[in-house]
Amino acid sequence: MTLPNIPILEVSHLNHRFQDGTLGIDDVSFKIAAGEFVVVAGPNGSGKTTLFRHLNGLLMPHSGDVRVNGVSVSADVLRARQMVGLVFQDADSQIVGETVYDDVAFGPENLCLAPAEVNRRVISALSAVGLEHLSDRKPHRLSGGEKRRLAIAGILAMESQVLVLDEPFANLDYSGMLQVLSRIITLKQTGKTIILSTHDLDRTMGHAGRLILMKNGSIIQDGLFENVIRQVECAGLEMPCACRMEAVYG
Amino acid sequence: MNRPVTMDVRFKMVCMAVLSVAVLKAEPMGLICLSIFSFMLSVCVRLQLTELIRHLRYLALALIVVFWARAVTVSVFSGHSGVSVVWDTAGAVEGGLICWRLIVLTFLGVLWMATTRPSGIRTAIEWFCRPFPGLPGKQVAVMMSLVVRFLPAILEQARETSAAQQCRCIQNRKNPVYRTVKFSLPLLCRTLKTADQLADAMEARCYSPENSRPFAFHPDRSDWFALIGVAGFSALMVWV
Ligand SMILES: Nc1ncnc2c1ncn2[C@@H]1O[C@H](COP(=O)(O)OP(=O)(O)OP(=O)(O)O)[C@@H](O)[C@H]1O
Ligand SMILES: [Mg+2]
Repeated sequence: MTLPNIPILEVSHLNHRFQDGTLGIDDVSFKIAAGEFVVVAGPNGSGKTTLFRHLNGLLMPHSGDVRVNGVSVSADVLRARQMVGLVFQDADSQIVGETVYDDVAFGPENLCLAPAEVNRRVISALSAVGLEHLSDRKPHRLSGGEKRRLAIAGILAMESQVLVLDEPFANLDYSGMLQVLSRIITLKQTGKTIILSTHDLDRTMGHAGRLILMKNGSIIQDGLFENVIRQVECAGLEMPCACRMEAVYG
Repeated sequence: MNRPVTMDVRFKMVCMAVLSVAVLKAEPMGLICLSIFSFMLSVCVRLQLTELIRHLRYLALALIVVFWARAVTVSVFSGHSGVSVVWDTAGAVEGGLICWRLIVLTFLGVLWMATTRPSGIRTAIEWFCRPFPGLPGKQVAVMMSLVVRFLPAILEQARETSAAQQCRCIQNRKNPVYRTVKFSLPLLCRTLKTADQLADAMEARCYSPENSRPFAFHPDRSDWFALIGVAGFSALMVWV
């Protein structure tokens, strides 16, 4: 479906100013090819969430353009939302269903799929995040980490081409983190495009191919993960332990 | 220049109350003067009019309904003509007047909100409750100021919930009942939970209405002048 030389995501000269005058995004441009695994990092308030909300048309640019598979998001928002699944930073606001199962089914049902297909997707998404044993529970009674996994399952069930995850590892314990990470890696292997933001670069080292550093709403570095990771300190981020060891001991 | 911002909250409250009564009672001539007066106030405090209009667009819908309800009489016959719709000019004038009053009132309300801090409102309410022995002034005041502080949080939450549902293609659902239920239930759940958490957080930091920080009033002569001026002006406007 994706043509080889059209990037699946193309952001050009994107600017966003909030109603109160805060500059959220300041002239950001990049292209992402289908199948890439990109990490976006930056200090608090650097504009990661704002950028992500442009990728599926929750926010519309004041100037500049976002294209999904060659089509501008503003031209067809619904198509962009189906192609780009966004997992929110705050899991609570994403939860709608009365039970865990219902919540994951919410998206596929909105896509008007047949009940058997909805069921298949829900079960596969729940097992991907290790929540199948909780499918009858009330979402509001889940722990913080379980809620986050539920939020991810809700988007996984949409089976979108591009998966955008805003801080997916926040609130997760080690095994929860590994589960989510290994699911992300499997998705990448099946050809999905992954974009995620994190403060924790250790986790994604060795898996992600590309790293984008943001600061004050603009991109300050963009390149191969192993090259950019050496410069994270200029964005005010902590360098992963392994990189520091390498710098010290060679 | 920024008079209303620095005005003593209690005086401002009384002025607003007097003005509101005047707006409700005044005839068209007085209403024109009162509208001009409120408009001048908004210029003084540099209220952003475009912002205001954007926030009030739902009010416009309600006003249209009010106006039509007054201006049009619909009657259903059992005879062959079925339904008849009659335009009623007197009713239209009356409806227009009601809408106008509501607009000026809302405008005053927005002015009040834009220029008063929640802590100021709280202490003023407390002060007005003081002469009534049975009334738990502090509790009433804290409750009202919490509502004022909580509303924007609920609105923000509503926006977030709606955004998250759009991510999962809720637009494909055309059934308004389904959409309303799927939107309002989680929002309600979330709001109640936030309220619980807020109460816990306040208690965890040893909150009690008794030891909240006192808010100092600074009445001065100009407050009295403003109050007398506004009261006189309002009385005049009702009288003309
Ligand atoms: N609705 C809004 N109105 C005004 N300013 C906003 C709004 N939302 C975000 N901002 C501001 O925009 C800037 C970027 O915010 P954003 O949420 O994108 O940061 P972030 O990189 O996701 O941060 P974090 O790592 O803390 O999640 C911040 O300075 C923030 O204060
Ligand atoms: Mg963020």
